[in-house]
Amino acid sequence: MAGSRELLDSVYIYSLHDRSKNIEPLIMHKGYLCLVLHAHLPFVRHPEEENFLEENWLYEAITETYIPFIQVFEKLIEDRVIFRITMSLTPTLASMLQDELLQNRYIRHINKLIELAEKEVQRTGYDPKFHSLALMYYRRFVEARDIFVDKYKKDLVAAFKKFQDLGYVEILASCATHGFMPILSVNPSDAQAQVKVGVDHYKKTFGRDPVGFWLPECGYTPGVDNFLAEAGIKYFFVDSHGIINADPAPRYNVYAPLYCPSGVAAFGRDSESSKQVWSSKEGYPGDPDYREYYRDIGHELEYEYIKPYIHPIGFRINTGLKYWRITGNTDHKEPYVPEWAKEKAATHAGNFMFNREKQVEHAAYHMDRKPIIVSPYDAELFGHWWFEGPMWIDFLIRKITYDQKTIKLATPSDYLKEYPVNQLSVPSISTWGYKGYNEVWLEGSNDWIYRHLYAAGERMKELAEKFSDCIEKGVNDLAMRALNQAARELLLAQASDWPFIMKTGTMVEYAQKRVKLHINRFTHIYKDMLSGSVDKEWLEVVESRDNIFSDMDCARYYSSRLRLHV
Amino acid sequence: MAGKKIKLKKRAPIERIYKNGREAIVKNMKRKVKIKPLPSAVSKPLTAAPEPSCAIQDRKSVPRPMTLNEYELPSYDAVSRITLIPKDPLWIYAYWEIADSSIEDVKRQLGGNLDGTRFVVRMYDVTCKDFNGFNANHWFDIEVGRHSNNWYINLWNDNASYCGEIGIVHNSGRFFPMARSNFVHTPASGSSNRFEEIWMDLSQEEGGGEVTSMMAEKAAGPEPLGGVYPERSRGTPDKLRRGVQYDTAGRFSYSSVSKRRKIYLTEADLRAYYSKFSPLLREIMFSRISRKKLYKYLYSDMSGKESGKESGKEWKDIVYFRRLAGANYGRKVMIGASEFTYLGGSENIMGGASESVQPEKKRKFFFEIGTELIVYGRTEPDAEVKLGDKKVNLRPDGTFSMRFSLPDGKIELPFTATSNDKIETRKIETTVKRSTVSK
Repeated sequence: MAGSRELLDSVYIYSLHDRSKNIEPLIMHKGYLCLVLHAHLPFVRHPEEENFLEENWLYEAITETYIPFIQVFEKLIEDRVIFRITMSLTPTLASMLQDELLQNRYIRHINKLIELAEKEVQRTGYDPKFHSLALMYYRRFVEARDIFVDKYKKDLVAAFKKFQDLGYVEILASCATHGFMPILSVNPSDAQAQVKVGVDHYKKTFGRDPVGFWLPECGYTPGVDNFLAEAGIKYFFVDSHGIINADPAPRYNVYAPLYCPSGVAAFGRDSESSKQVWSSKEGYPGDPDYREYYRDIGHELEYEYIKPYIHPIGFRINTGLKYWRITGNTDHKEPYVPEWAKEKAATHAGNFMFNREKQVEHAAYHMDRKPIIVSPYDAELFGHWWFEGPMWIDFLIRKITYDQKTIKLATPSDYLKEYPVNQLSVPSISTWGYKGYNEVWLEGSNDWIYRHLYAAGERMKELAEKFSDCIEKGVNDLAMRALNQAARELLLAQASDWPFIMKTGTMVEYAQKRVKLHINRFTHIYKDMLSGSVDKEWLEVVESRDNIFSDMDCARYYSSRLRLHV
Repeated sequence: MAGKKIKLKKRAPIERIYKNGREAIVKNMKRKVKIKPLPSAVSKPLTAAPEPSCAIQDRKSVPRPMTLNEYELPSYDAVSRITLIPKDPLWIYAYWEIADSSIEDVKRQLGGNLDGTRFVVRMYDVTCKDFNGFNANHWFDIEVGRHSNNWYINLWNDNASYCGEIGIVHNSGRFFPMARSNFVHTPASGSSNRFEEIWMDLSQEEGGGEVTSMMAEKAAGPEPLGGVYPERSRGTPDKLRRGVQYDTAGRFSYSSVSKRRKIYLTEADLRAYYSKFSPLLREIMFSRISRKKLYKYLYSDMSGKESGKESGKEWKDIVYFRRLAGANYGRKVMIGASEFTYLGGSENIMGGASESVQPEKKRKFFFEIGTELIVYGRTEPDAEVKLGDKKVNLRPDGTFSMRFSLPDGKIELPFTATSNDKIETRKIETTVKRSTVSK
């Protein structure tokens, strides 16, 4: 049944695309809105323990963000709404979504949640304020399980791949493990490997060449675009000041892309639309009618009752069932009312659209081309933090399609097709972090890691050069395995998530441990390789634990001789 | 670290190896590569790789628990080195290692002791320079002490290139550098004051993977600037340079049929692009434009590596030059304890990347009460119990319990039990009332 519907969809889309090519609509839109959802989680996979707290990041994101988005997109397609969304699905996230162990653990997780929701439905039977909420969660969890298990056979990547193949979603490639380019590029081979591994992983996962690239944290420094160009990438994103401070000065502010001298286009983030969604104070997600994130029954209900659903050791954690709304800037919270929240989401979608229309009208007046407004967000903001986020996107897409004629959804590659001539300039060093530069990832709490990351990066290069014959011929299986694993450990240590967590101050110890762990495993292999013997048993254990990119020859990316042929 | 080293040494001389999938025991690891373990991260010149290096064997080690030493970090202090990382337009982070041997070297040159010396990081502003050791725009010293290994360095202006050296300054003004850093470029904090427009047309590249062609062409061309951009050498029409003359589709109104991509660049643009900015571009620039002249020297020193033997001569020259120059030239500024200033300042900085949606959680005091109601009972295991018209699940022994959230108000609980043969029915109705007053 699903198959025939897909076929119908694709035929329908195809004809629509054809039509848009040949017939100019009578009333032309004046500009474009490019929504970018950056879906990413660090690689958290811990086969060594049955219940690992940090793996919940993945499970919560699946239930609250990825599956709701899949539901939104499917419903839109079913309703024949044409939309274009740009999305990233980083290699670490895609690898976890395709990992069998984690898939099965997710099923265990969602089953547990359904059991809890069932109990909650009964428990709240005499409490009208909460009974409907318990029912809502029960329904959502059951739907999530249906989609995960029955519809997509545990592989959610397949869902997004399908949306891309149908022409609704454009998926961006990204760095292998979310390496932060402005700092990693001090060691060019590290930056290059992050890009190349990421792009090759994309090709393998999505069965096509990537067009766009998500620079982790929007971290750009001139020269990074060369690596993207080498990998065949056509565009990437920078924060607003990356464009505004570009040299020479941009003619159209952030409303049109710039070509870097390497020929790769840089699209600038629009700060106004970002703020409306991001900011916890001025932004939509702080509205009193929306669901309160910090009140979770895992922390509130009677201990013995909730015990089976929190951490087995006995400390309370979030379960995902939250019954209160934000209410206001107060500790006193009122029960959540889904209807009010839905109404608000629709209002906010309308407001967002109205603002973009005005923005486009204003910008278009000063431009010789249609402006494009680029609004990138962390995907996990929607659903996980901002519970009504996916609903808001749904409303927004529908309203843009039916309620106005000023703006149109587009992806950057749509835009570049329409406007292949763009200004040449060098974007400025920039990130989307606090204050706009490297401070979040380089400050007192996390600066110690770079000494080790750079050293390991150079050692990896050294190994790759020394054993380049071996890498080329694949002579010694054990040596190859060790080298590849060394590269994987290095990549895992480079994730920008670790310094970020160290800075923000929650789960700091875990992030520190992860950096140390991977640096140590790397150094161990490095020393083994130089001494000429590898501890095979140990290597096997490490391979089974840090199994990201397990079917890729990661060491090749560090050999200057072989890199070109990877 | 120490523990780990001992373990490695203790390894038994008799080794088990896997060969062709089989386990074998060999007495002597003859093919073991004899390279002394490099103590540092510095990749030495890799020209002399002595043996075919693929002879990696399995070592059946002393059982090494996975968790042992996993969180102990390696140290790299066998070679002196210094690395700079830009933090924002006005701050650079520097970290370094100083090898004992480097200090010994300096001692020797000073006649045996370090009296009257201090450890400094010397920062060179090399904006728009091909730095050769003594042509910096200006430089300044930061006194750092023997035992610190990192520093946050405050600068005066943004958009500048820097290079640093860790070394020892003698009271006489002589400077003994021990390692030179990579080059970094700090971000611009404001918009550019160059307004000339350059436009690029990629429309011919429909689906082609030739976005790199600019770099490739540039490298291939006999002359980097003139040869690659014929359009430019033929002169660029002014109307194009203004970049506003396209048709409605956004293409240039007289777009050429040529398959070559058109780039309208001035030489100044290219120079500006390649001579400024990041270490990556510097590498490209150096390796392309002045490979023969500068490569050997700069490349070996550029990435913070101690100069190898080949460049020893030039290195000495620089030291000599500096000795002449002493501390009289350049700009010398001490920034004490910039690290602490920095750390103190960071206390009031809140929020992470992208101002994530985290309402501040400032619950100082709170008091909440929840009430729940547990109703339990028992009957024959095969009987049927209902609450209202809803069936209640019995445990195998005939007991049951139910748990309800108890809001304010009155709750009526009408239970009915019916025996298995439907002959007997009992009813129990219980009512619970809750009222809450909070003051």
